Amino acid sequence: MTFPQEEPIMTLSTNPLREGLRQHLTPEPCIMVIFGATGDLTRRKLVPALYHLALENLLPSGFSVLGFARRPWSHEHFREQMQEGVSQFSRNQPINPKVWESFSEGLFYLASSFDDADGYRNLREALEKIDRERDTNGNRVFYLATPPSAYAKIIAQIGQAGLAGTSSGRHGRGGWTRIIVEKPFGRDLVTAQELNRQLAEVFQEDQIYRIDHYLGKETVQNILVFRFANGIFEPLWNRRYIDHIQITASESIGVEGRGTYYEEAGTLRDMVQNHIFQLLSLVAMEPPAAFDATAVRDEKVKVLRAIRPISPDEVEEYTVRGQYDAGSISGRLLPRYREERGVSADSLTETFVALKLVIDNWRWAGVPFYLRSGKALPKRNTEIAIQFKSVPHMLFTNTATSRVEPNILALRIQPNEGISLKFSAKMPSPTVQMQSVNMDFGYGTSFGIDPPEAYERLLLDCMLGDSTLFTRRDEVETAWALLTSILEGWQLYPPQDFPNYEAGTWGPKAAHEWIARDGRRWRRL
Amino acid sequence: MLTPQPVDVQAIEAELTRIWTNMAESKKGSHVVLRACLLNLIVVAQNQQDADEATQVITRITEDHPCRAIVLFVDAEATDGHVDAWVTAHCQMPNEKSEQVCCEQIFVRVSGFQSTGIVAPLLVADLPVFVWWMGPLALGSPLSERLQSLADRWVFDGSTFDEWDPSILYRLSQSPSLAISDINWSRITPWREIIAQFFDPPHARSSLTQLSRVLIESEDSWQAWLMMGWLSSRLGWQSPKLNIQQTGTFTFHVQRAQDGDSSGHGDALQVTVTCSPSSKHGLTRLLLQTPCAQFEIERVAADAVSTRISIEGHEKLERNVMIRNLDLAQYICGELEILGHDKVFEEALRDSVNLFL
Repeated sequence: MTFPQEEPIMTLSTNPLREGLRQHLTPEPCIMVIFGATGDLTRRKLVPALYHLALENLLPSGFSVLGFARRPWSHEHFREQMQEGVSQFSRNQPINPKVWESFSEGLFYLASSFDDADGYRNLREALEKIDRERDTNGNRVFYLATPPSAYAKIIAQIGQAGLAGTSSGRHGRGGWTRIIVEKPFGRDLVTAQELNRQLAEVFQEDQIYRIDHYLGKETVQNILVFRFANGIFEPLWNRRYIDHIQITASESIGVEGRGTYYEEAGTLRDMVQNHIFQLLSLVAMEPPAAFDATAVRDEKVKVLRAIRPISPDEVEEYTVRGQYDAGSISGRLLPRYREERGVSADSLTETFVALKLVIDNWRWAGVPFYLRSGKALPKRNTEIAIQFKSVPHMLFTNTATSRVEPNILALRIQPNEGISLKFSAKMPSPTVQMQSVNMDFGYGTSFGIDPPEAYERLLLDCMLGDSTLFTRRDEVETAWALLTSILEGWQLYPPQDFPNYEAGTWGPKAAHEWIARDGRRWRRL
Repeated sequence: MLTPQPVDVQAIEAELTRIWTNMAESKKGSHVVLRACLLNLIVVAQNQQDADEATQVITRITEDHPCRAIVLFVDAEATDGHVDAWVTAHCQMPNEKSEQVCCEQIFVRVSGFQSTGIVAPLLVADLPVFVWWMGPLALGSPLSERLQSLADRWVFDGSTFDEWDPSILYRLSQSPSLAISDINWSRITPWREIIAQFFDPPHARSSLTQLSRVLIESEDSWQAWLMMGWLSSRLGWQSPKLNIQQTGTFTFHVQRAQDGDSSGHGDALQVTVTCSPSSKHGLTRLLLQTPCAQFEIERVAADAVSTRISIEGHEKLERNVMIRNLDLAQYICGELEILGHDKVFEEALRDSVNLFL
């Protein structure tokens, strides 16, 4: 959009009307092109998140979505499908007709296969038309919501069609282009590097937003606030006071019809490489010099680089794998993994993994990080538990309770988001009897508002050009380097006992024996 | 809420202690009752209707802001010299995950001349003191003077004033130890958000230095003046001159700053404020115009506005935006979350006051 000038224009570097308002900034008008717009992610997550941003008036006038996929849909049919998705999946019900009317005027659709050059020529024309009609000023966000197998084709075609643009546009006066890439980001180090190379051929690194929706969760962002905005915890956050850290991400469902995908992925790729490593790096990182994309991500990468690599020969010592057998969870019967649709009858894909990682730096020397994640476990639960060292000398030996439970600080990511601190207290009685009690903070009860969906925050950040909560190239590759070595070890030593845990239990017996060898035990969740 | 207990003013603290002890005893073996207090809230009501409304609002406020609430009903008609006091507790319903949190309310009905010495002894020590003054301000009164010396923040609602002098309020806002807030200012915040949003794109900001005409229409005159004060203070407008005044319509010529700050004198800009007092809505329309662009907001329903951007040579952009209408308790809750001075409000107030000088 250009403003006709009748007198010299003085450009303001900041918006003087923003001062004192809670909302920091609204993104510039832009078009979000969603590749794979007929898929589940678009109707379940992306468009409901965008609609909610519109409801909260966080989107600019003229904001538009252009769906791009193979199915021969019209604009109108796309709008109907998205309205159905929003009606079903938006966290604000019922749908607001006035807001939907304005929002849906900005929804468009273009049918094309992902490798058809003509489709991308049509895309260019469609974008230019929307720019003219809705003053989106050449600003674009490309969203890859397709299966990963389509990424390379789409990226190359965007490049060939001359649509890649730049990160800052035309001398800061609009016309920027960004691309959001969904996980999985590669399936090992080589494929991740190859995808990064393909992206780098077309886009600059500061145009690339690798999304991990865990980082959009309020509770994950709160890890940084908790650590670096409170004076009392950081002095204890090191090897002198912490015995070990457990990170758990458990799911109480099986593969739920995604057997074909899961056969290719497994828990290590599906959960550990992205979500759990994000949690680990936020908990273990050093304080960044500033709360900006470069400083925060520099520190996260430093932690990943400090993790001692597990060589293929060490996998038996540092890892445990599992695969679920038939069982029941909350009264619901679950078939064994090998009987799920799309799963091979002799599959060796892991549905449970436990890892012990050691971080070789001054802060964490000698403090093991135990990570576990799995499907068909008794509860859906993600938490980080920091277990502090026991007292150096036990005073209360001649009492009914001579063993004192360790102090545990638990950061609950989902559900029941919050933080609790377990400590010992004297029970009211004439003698010394101790009991562990919890000091508990719950997000829902303390703030009384629903936290925004992770996608809302991340989509808005991308439109604003803030990549702090997105994964950088070196972060992805460092994480894959660590895990590729484990995957190679697992190939060398295939599991002999799959399936080795019953659905509805906390993983294989071996996982409990393995941590017990270190004199520790998994938290009961 | 527990049934209010009449009590002698001198014995209020003792009576509160007795209430808490009784509650704790009656709950033995079931939920724990937590007595919580994060702030003192003094509500000054000048009629029975306001006093009743204050009690309802306090019940809601204590869910998010546990406090000691003191409702001071200054009964101008009372000449008997009596001071009547009641104490009670507001409790949230407990749930499986949390204990029951209860807060206390003290209700004092006094005749005007006795009111000054009542509050100070009832405050919980070392906690912030908020005063919510319902209805017209009586800033020079002994009660007001006394409360100003006790309070950290003073909350009022400009929409309840019939006639008043905003310069007194501006002087009050200059007190270093007392911050002030106007619920009417909070009511125009969604409008301020939308106006700010027009100029978030860097290329749109130049319009702010090219404005030639501004229209503000409101059914609440104080909201209109605050809106003008806000635009004026943020955009560095200077030397307002009232040119035309018709019934309810005021037209000013102001000097707009050339570069968005107050250092330079730019061209004249015409600002028209139309107030058609009615209790229905506040702001109804706002138009910002440059020689080649127009930004407009118009109320289309109680909870919705329509926004329009028209730029020469471009298609008109229109959309509907929801405006969240808060109730009184939600506005008061918002005010209790701020302790320090609201610089933007105070500057808007200053420029609103300047319009009348």
